[in-house]
Amino acid sequence: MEINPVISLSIFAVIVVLGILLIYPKRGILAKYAKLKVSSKKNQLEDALKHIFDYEYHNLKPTLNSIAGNLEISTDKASQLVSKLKKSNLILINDQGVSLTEDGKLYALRVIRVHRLWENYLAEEIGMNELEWHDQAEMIEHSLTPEEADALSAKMGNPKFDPHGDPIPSTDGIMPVKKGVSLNEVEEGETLRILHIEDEPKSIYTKLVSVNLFPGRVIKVILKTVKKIKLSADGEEITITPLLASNINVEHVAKSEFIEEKQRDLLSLKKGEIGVVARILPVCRGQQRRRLLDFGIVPGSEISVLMKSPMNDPIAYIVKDTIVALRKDQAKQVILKNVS
Amino acid sequence: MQNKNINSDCVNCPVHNVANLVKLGVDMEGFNYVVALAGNPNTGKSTIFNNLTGLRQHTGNWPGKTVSRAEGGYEFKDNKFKIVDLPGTYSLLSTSTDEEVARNFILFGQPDVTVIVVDSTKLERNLNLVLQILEITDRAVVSLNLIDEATRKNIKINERELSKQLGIPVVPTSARSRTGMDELLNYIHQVATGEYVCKPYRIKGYSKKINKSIDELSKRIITLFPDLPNARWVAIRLLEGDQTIIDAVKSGEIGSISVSTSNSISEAV
Amino acid sequence: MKSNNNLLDKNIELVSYADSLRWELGENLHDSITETIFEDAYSIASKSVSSIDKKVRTNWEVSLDRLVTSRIFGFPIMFLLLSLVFWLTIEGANVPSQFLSSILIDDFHPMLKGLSASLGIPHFIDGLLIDGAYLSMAWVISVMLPPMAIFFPLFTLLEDFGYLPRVAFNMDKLFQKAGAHGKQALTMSMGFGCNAAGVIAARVIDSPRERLIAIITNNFSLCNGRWPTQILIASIFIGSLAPASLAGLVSAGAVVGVALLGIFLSLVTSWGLSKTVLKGEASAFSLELPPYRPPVILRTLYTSLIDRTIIVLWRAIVFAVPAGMVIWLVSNIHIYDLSLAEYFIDFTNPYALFIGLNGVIFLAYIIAIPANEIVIPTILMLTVMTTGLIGTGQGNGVMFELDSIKETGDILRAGGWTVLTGINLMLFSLIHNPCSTTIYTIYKETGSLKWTIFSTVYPIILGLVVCFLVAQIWFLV
Ligand SMILES: Nc1nc2c(ncn2[C@@H]2O[C@H](COP(=O)(O)OP(=O)(O)O)[C@@H](O)[C@H]2O)c(=O)[nH]1
Ligand SMILES: [Mg+2]
Repeated sequence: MEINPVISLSIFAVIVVLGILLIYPKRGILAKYAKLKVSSKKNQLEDALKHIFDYEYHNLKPTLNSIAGNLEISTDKASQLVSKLKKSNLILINDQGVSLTEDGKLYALRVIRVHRLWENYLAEEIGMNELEWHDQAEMIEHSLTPEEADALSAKMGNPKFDPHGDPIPSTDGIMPVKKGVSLNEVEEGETLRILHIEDEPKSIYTKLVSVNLFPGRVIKVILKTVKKIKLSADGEEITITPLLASNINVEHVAKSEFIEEKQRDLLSLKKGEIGVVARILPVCRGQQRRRLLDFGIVPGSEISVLMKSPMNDPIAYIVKDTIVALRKDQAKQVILKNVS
Repeated sequence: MQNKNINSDCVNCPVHNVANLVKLGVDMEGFNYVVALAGNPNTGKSTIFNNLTGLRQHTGNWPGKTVSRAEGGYEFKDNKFKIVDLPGTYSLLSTSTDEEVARNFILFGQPDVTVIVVDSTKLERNLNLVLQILEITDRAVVSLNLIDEATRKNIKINERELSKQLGIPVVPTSARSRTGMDELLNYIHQVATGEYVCKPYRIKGYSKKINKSIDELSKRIITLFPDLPNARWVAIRLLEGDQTIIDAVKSGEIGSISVSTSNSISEAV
Repeated sequence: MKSNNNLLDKNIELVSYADSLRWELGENLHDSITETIFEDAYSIASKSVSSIDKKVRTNWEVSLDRLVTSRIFGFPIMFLLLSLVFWLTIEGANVPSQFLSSILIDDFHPMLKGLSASLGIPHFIDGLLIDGAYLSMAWVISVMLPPMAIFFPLFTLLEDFGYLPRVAFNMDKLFQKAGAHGKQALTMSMGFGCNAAGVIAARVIDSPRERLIAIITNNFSLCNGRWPTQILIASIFIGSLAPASLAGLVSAGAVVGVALLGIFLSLVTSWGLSKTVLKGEASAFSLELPPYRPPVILRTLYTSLIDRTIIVLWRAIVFAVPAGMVIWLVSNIHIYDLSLAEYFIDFTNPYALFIGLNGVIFLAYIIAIPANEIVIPTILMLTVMTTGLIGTGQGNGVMFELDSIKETGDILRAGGWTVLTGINLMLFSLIHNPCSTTIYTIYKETGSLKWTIFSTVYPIILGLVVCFLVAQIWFLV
């Protein structure tokens, strides 16, 4: 094989470039193809069902327009979808819009179950970034069979809520009624716990994530005008627009649960200081959370710094007479009170 | 249910569940009693196992190295004991494979005695597991191991008080130098034969809301499975969505666990 | 039957009832249960523990920890300790290896041959069983047993003492960046002794994703079986490039370079995997650091021999026997004038030369899959066979090695080896499929055919690509 090395190396370079084009995450050909598959007919039907269910769940009236808007398709296409759904007895059409039949509801719940289970899986078992959960789940929800979903659920200890705080329907389509109210409906001065953060549209969700609002966080409304809502949480002030607030669901909690001053996290603990654990943030979930609890990092435990690794991360702590090494990311998720 | 031939008046009869043990892969042919070794990782379980059986299981100063289950046997006072070294776990509440193996063995195998090996220098952390095990089984002995290290660190443990609190025998041991082994063997024997009747500590203090759910659920469990010795614990597992327990309840297999001797204290629900 | 069904229905009802209660209890049930248990544990412990002047850690433990995890000394100490272990292994194994080989190969092999000749056993059977199966087994035992019997106990002593978790603690940051777990540092170090043992050691990693990464990348730790190959080839082809006084240093440097390249590839592969097929953030490190404890030396020796050495050796022998037969067969079954081996070599040679290797190397790596240790003997045998050198070797299908590095070099050069072949062989020896023992162990540990195949094929492809690039650039300049 006498090939000029220049030629052979060039051929190699071309192959590498083609390979990257093929498998590049999100924008590669394979990823595009996967997206294409998502927008197939069956998936559109399922997405429409989901949308109708979602609206009904929130006491809204789904219409042809809302379907078209949600699926990003023309009204023509949407009406085709609707008539198809009607033919399969999944929805009823009436003068105000559309509504789900019992079958349609069960169908939608099955899809939602897979979606939420998968988000939970990504969050707890894979530890994927929260901004990616939804898109991934959008793809999987159409392809996982109910049996596979059950197996997945069993493996994770049958979670009841997804990482956004949404309930996960059971296999036979049971889901509790909606809890809590929209953040827009509460008054100034009230103390609240975030129950749920809607992850669609993504642009809004990204903003909410970036200002550090997550399910489980206790907040207080300190100012409310038409243009903005000012919140306080653990000594932090967060200002959001009513549009953002409409994607947050909250419940009322006792004033005593609200934490006024800024709290320190474990990462800020210095050598020689002793901290008392107040809580572990909800972002630490799944196996990681369980492991911290197992180590005795529970509210009330005393904890102190022992030593840092040569590259400063991880850090070894002493808790309940045991040396436990934690990464910085994790230490940040442990909140302290009473540092002395 | 093969093990039902055990007369419930029989005080010193074995309580282990032969049928389930076979399912778990433990052959009881030629043995009178089965003993499980449980505990946090790195507390000296394998060292104790080796001491008692004369075998040479891998030990090492590093949490997580005993990964497969080891079995062995020994004879004491004319009784043949089978002893099983379970993987070390911090808890039995999570979903990892290790914890499932340990938990299933104690729950379904119903060992005659579960020896819980604890690290005396970290008693509080280790009690987390002890209390969880005592929710599942009545018959346990605590081996207060690494007592030499505790002494070196000026930690004094009043083992009588601890035993009173937990309601089970507590034996200070130093497995590496083989101290305390005779006493441990003695207590294992006493608990196995029913000579020592354990009155295990049960976790109190759950919040009202949780307690209410546990009460309601365990009432229903008891009506379906009246012989179940640990209905409250099963209730908690159901509330936590533990698939193994859900399956065992659905299939009725959980009914194979039963109070088989009079010395077990049934739950007052 | 009906009543049975009824009962089952009731059971299912019970489960659904429990399920409905779960909505009420919310997401924090597990947290509050654990908290309650710890509260009870605290109250029990405080009643029964009294400690005046309690020391969580004794003074020397604190100082030792400071030292081995210190910013300045942490890494050097680690490096020195591990180097010491490898040095002791390589140096210490020489004498017993030679002893075993003189008994099993130099004495016993001819004895068996003589016996079979006196019994009149046909050449075919005698060759297949004695030159093939027996010799390959004898080879594997004599080259594998001594280093393992030294490496594993030494490593186990470090483990028993409590040093290994500190290594994981020190190294974690690197692995975190690669999306893997700090404990992978341990499986990696273990892999320098034996990849199969490294793969088994990955059990200490809890997260399945990270464990899989550790298993797949373990092959990039240059194992005991490959060190001698590296050292030999480096001395022949690379050492000779330098002036005689520096030859030793240069070739040692080259071997260390290859080992470091292995660590690099291992990290890069971990990173790549955790960004693609094994996607996910690095999970929590959360590791309990045990106290230091003086190791129980005798028991350690015993258990590490039983646990690790014997298991690995046994697996290697199981694969070596059939492979030995194959080696003998391909060099002795002739179609027309040429043996199967020669057909294969002739056929693949052009492609192999294109990437800076040769057909003999290809064949050797395929049929010497049971153990990296028999690659060099197989290469020598095949080279002698194909070049028709007279006066060396022991006949077709009979592996051999020479005491003299110079003579070995002469044979290889006669087989057409150049510096490029030497460099690429060193690279390919680092980056190719794991040995059959390791492949089997990967299958046992992962239980997944898919990942076993991936772990086998990925390094081959990577190795071929690396050799290709090196060769083409070599030709270019
Ligand atoms: N000083 C001391 N060391 C012990 C004692 N028991 C076990 N060890 C050591 O603790 C380490 C862990 O023991 P091992 O039996 O492997 O623990 P396992 O993980 O619970 O099976 C080993 O290094 C033992 O030698 C003891 O009573 N005293
Ligand atoms: Mg062990």
